[in-house]
Amino acid sequence: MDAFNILIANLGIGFGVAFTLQNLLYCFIGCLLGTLIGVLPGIGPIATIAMLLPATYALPPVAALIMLAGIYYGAQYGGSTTAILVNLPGESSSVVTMLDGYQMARKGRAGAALSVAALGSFIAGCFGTLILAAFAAPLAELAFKFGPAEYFSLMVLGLIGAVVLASGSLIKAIGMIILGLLLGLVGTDVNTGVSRFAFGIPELSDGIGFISVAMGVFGFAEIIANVDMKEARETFTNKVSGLLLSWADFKNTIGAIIRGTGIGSLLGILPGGGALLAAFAAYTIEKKLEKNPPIPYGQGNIRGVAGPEAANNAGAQTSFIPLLTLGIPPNAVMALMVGAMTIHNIQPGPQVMTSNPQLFWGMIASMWIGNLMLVILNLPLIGMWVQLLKVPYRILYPAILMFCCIGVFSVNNNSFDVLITVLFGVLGIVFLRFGCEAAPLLLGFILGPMMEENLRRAMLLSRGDPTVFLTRPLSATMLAMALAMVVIISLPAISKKRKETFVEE
Amino acid sequence: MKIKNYQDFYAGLMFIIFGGLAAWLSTSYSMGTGARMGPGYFPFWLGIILAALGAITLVKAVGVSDGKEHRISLKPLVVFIAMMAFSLLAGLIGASPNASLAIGTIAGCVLSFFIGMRSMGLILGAVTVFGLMLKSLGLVVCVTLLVIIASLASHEMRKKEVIASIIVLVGMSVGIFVYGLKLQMPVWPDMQELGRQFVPAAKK
Repeated sequence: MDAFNILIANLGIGFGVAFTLQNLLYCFIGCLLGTLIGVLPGIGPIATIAMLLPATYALPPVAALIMLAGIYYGAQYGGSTTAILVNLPGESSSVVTMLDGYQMARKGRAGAALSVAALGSFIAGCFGTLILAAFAAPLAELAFKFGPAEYFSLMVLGLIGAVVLASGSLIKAIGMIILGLLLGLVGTDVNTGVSRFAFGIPELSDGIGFISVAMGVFGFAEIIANVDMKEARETFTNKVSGLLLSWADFKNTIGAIIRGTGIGSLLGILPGGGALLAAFAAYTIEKKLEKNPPIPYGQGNIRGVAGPEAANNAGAQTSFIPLLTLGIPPNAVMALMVGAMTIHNIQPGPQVMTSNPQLFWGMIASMWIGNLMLVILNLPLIGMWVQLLKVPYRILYPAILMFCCIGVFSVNNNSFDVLITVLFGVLGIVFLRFGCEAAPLLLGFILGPMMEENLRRAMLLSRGDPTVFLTRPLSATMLAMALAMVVIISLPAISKKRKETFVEE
Repeated sequence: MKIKNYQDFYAGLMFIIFGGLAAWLSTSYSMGTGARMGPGYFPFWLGIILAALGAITLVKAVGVSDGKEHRISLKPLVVFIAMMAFSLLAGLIGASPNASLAIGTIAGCVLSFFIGMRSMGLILGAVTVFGLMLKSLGLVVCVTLLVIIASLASHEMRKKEVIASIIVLVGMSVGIFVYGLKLQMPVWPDMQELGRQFVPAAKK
């Protein structure tokens, strides 16, 4: 019971912080802006966060992080709305929602699909927040036992996990990670003061800005790719009615929501897990469980929307756990969060909880508030998002571009960052053409300096003996797990199955 | 031997080039020993691993063709290389880093416009102009230029819509960023700054 009381006390601190008028307001603005941008077709959470990050610079750290969390949930939820109404996923995790959600919209049940998505997300969000609060303290405790060798191995495991669970070619994805790690090393080496890969350019001595990388590869590249596509989207925007879920629908979906929440919470904690895998897994389970569905899956079954939406939101929530307790971002969105925290001079990791409990618990409490706000915000405002979806892309993209440009410029108030972003925009198009995923690149980019630092320290402590990674049990276990993942996924039978799962579900 | 997967083939090639370049550049920094790693140690080995992964990808992409042609466009890569090459060239003849990069990106955008990547050239060109001129021309002019140039990329552009967009976006950007968030950026053109930008000597 003691642990429970501590948990309640901690959440009390958190809600005390989050329930100030100012922080509630920032949470609200974050959710609103996140949904506003996230609802735009073709813009996923990564691009949304990168775009809106500059808006939080001027805020105090707690308010900034609360607003960012709000932006993240808003973007997630906005993406689902677009997937249901336009059949155009803003992010990979919405692909699953799209399968049945869009079909429901075609059959005039857009309202039910949207509300079940909101309900599922809310229930999952509440549960995910609780899990986060409960697991944060013990995990952070564990993290204090980690030495540099363990941290290095953990990062290897995290990076490998991130690509194994993603779709596409494994070798290419690992290549993108390493390219990201290398890009992350540009600038002054903290140990020796030597400037690396900077070609004597003073602007590069602090490294390449992570906003430039994220905005170029995710923002600009996606805009360019979308402009070239013909506008042939079919929007079901006139038929959004009946937002209140019927009792029959509720009874039908509550099981799916609970299962989705469980799967999502579990998979979100895993390194590299998070929203996409959770959504896929939840969908597969629903499909297997319902033997004789009244409406076949893929043709508008409401449980095919409820399960994945719940899983995706629970995963989004629990993927904060590795970030907040270990300081390791499990996916590209969390990597951006690391960047955001560093800007506010917060080094993510186990020490945040003890040194800055106000910030830590305030952020967790505001996650729950953010989820509540999304429900309150989205159901009445759905008409407004629908109107936004009717605006043709040719009018939207110059506006998006403008926000990106001002955002990049305002990071350091110089044109150099904007030009670097242009370079990364071209590189993003190159990656698209060559079938190279950009998310692992961003993850590697953020982890590059951390990884080198821990490798150096571990090797220094062991006096240059590389076996230290294998003789320390925790480190060895993590490396073995990473190796096992690669081996399992490379087995011919499984790699074939993996391809099928990601192509057709 | 034929290439059976062009995507993988070129991705592999790209990894080999980037990895090789990183490893080669790293050799100019001190390597140190395993216990005391120098600044060159970690990037050198990363570069080697990247090149090796690239080689594996490349080898796997060559083999018996399935008869289908999967050629892909190399134009974006050409543009990227052009941007780097022009920047490097400008840097070698003594331009400042900022100016070199500006020359490189502009050259790349113009190039992509002429080799059939019109929308990429226009969109990134619009961004480049915005970034370069914001300090001297101010937000109002720059947003206007950005919207006009970027809109040209779409085949479905309509004049009235562009004009309406400009009015709305200029108002929004000034309202949100200058008055709302109080970001430091000029609203109107500053002729002195403009002069300084093109005649670097005037800086002194």
